[in-house]
Amino acid sequence: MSRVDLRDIIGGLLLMGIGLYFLMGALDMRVGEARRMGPGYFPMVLGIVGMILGAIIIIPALMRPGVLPSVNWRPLIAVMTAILVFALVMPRAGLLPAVFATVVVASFADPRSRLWQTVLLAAGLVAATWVIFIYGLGLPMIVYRMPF
Amino acid sequence: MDLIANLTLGFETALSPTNLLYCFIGVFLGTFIGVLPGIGALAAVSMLLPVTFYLPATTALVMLAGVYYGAEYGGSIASILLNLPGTPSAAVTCLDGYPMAQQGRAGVALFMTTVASFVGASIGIVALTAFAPILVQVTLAFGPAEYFAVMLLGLLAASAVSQGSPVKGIAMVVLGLMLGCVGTDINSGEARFTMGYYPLLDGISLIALAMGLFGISEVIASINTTNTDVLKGKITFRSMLPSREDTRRSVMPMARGTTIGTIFGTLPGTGQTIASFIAYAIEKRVSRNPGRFGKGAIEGIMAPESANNAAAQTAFIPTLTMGIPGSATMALMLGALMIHGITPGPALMTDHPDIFWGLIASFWIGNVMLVLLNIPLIGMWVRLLKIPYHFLYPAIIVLICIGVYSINNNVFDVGLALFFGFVGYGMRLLGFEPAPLLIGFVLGPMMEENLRRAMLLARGDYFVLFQRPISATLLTLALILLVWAIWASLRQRSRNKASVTEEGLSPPQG
Repeated sequence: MSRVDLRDIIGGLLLMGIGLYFLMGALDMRVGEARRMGPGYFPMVLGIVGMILGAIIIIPALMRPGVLPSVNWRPLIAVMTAILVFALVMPRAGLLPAVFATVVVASFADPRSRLWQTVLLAAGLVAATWVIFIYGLGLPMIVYRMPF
Repeated sequence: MDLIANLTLGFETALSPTNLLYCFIGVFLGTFIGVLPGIGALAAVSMLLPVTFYLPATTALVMLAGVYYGAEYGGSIASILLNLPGTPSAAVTCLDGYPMAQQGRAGVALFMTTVASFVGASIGIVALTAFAPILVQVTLAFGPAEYFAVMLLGLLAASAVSQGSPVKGIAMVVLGLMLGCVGTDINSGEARFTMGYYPLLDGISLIALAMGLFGISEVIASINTTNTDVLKGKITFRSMLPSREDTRRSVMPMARGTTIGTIFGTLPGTGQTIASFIAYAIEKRVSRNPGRFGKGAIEGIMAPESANNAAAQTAFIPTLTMGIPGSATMALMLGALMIHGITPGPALMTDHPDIFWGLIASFWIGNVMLVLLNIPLIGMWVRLLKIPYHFLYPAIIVLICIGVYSINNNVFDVGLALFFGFVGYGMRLLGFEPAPLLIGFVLGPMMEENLRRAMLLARGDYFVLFQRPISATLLTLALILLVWAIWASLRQRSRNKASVTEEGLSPPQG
């Protein structure tokens, strides 16, 4: 418990930052006038509104206590890595190896996962992927190839 | 009679073998997703969007819509049996549904919520059939100024009425509008905010955005927090039969719930969750014996379940007639239409009557299928709830990856989904709702286009927006809403009790 609501202060600051980024980006483009708006006009308005809203979120948060939410680190990292692995393996080795690797990495998110169960699950999902997406829907994807 | 001719056309379309099959797949998957706690209809619809590239537009919409309203049926099952809402709009059903299950009346609760869902949905469809053509007539008179005003009001309503702080909701709409600007500017051809990434010239992919914000971040948030080990027992058909007393107590709450749902579904931005909360509150208010609520009162499940299903159907009214989505799921439906090259709006009904009426006819068929799926096959869904979550989520992740990759056969979209998954999880932690963002994202380009056109016609004079009666009324309402939202936010020194209980009730957004 902190004296100010840090959660909303962080949120508001991020919003103001994004608003500023959009405002600067918009001013780099041709803004034009209301009658004949350039590409920068609408983003400029949005940037300003975003910064104002950020401020409105921060002001009351300064006057009330709050708690910072806790982060679910293990699932966050494992799931992110699993998707990254898919993105890396897919173009190099094809769909089926990518699915297998993704499932194995994703299983680290939950401490209840057992290795032999994970391998079985991964194998099952590889089979299901082939049946549904390649055989059934006929997606034009590389199914398998030697990565080297 | 026009209506009969239209409905005949609709049923002819919806009863074609392909559409029937995909309608069934849709409602089946919808129930499946609805039953599972942790992923809602939104994540499911976004996961299935890429698959629909390979289908004709009508079939695609029939299936996606089936997922959407099917999830409303399935959502109550987890609420009743596990005290975990399968979908946010089924959160209220926990309050009396779970106590009923504890008293050994789970069968009755499951049966009666299906009845309530069916009645609510049926009346919702009647309202949709009756009012949509009228609204189309009104909308045909809209110029760019009116379109801009109605979108602004819709966006503000969507964000201000959502859970939590209204200003945070509006902030998310604005963020969505910003993301909608990314890509090539239609009028000048200039690239905006692409940061040098070539694929971003076409704009941010709706699917990657939705999967990241809803799919990925929901999975991360539900791992380790979703526990389904407590489930035991079996539902027999005998145990599902309601007593005469149950039936008598259910009729009026169902009627009131349906009315509330029908009205709230039509309003942009309110949707099923709000409708079900309000229906529950009203039931408690009118009851002669409010003390029974929370302890297994059947009224407490009938009213919200009929309300959320009625709202699920009437939510299609603004979406199909004006092309303005009232909720994030509806925004995805519009996205699906646009992917197939169909412009949503009042012209949809005249230019593509087969899609419009076929979709409505498929709702009737889908709801009948859902009753069959939910009553005789209830045992299957109960068994599904017994699958441990750590076997399910890797499958969901694989589905997300394949879905996003298949849009362009390109890793870039997977990376984009990954990025938005991270953003979505951060938003969740900081108490920002992702749903208004998605609505803003879909409406953004249309809104900018209409504003530019309106201002061009008005020679840059903003007061013209207030001189046309319809747009003046809409903008005044929007202004009132905005002032209220800011005032409510500044007044809120400490997070009040109501929003805390609401947050506690509905963690997964869908």
